Amino acid sequence: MTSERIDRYLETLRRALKAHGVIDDRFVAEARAHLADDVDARVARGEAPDEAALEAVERFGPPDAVADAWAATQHVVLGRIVGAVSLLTMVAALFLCASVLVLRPPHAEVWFPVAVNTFICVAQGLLTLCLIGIIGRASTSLLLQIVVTFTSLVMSSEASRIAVAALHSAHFEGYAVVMAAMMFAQGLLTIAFVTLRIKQRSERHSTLG
Amino acid sequence: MNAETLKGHLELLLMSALQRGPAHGYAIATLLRERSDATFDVPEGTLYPALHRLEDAGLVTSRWDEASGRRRRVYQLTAKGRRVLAQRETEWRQFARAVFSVVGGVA
Repeated sequence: MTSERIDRYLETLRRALKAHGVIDDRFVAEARAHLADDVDARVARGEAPDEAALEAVERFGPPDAVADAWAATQHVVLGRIVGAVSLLTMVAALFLCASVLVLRPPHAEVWFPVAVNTFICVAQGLLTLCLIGIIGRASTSLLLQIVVTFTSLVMSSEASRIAVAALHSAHFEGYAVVMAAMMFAQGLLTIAFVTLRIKQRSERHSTLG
Repeated sequence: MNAETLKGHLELLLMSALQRGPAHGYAIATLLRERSDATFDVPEGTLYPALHRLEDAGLVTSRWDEASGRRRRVYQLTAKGRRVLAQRETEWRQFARAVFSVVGGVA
């Protein structure tokens, strides 16, 4: 019953975290150890195991309040948007690249720039997903943030170049304009996300002295 | 004490709790409650986001430790954390002395 109560609480906490856009298995593992330590200490003081489990989860806090405290430390919504746009751009770039390689349109010379842009999109997308924590644990590495910002700048400038070229081309290439818009949006959103994270980090430093 | 009142001081309190040596979250929560005579009685789950923020800021590090068949995350102050803590302690003592002088004087 004791471990069932703890398991139920942890499951509710996991759901509350997920609803707040936080995926952090490390925290749930820490919460489990914390609750088990608290129950042991209470039982050693003479409390009944079930009562001890109830007190332990109450003291740990309502799952929603705990999840709120987590979400407040992260730019969850912007992170989700950046993650979704990154995935969408990667899929679109891979689809476009595969189409060009398979179908070989009349302007056959486009395959090389398309392949290069696909590589940029996929590399930048994967790095961004690592930074946000969709792949692995959210990273706070300064080097990764610099690399992502740099690739985002490359991506946005390349998107501008593609858009200008497509709009001035004799044949209107709608796919190129759509692709350029997606790349541009992804680049700018990622830069905004990284800037907010760095700003938040420097605020923490100044708050902490 | 109201959780909002404590919020602004939580990081200083957590770093102070780690001053004695490495500790896991439950030990830190217990120490805060006991040393404050239960004045600092916040939902213990909300201490962890603050600990992770300190880690992000490079003021503490953490590692998994296994003892008595239980895996716990143990936090430790970094050299930078000790410097920041010393500075914040000095500031806090000055602030507390000044507040007490004014409040004590009025009372």
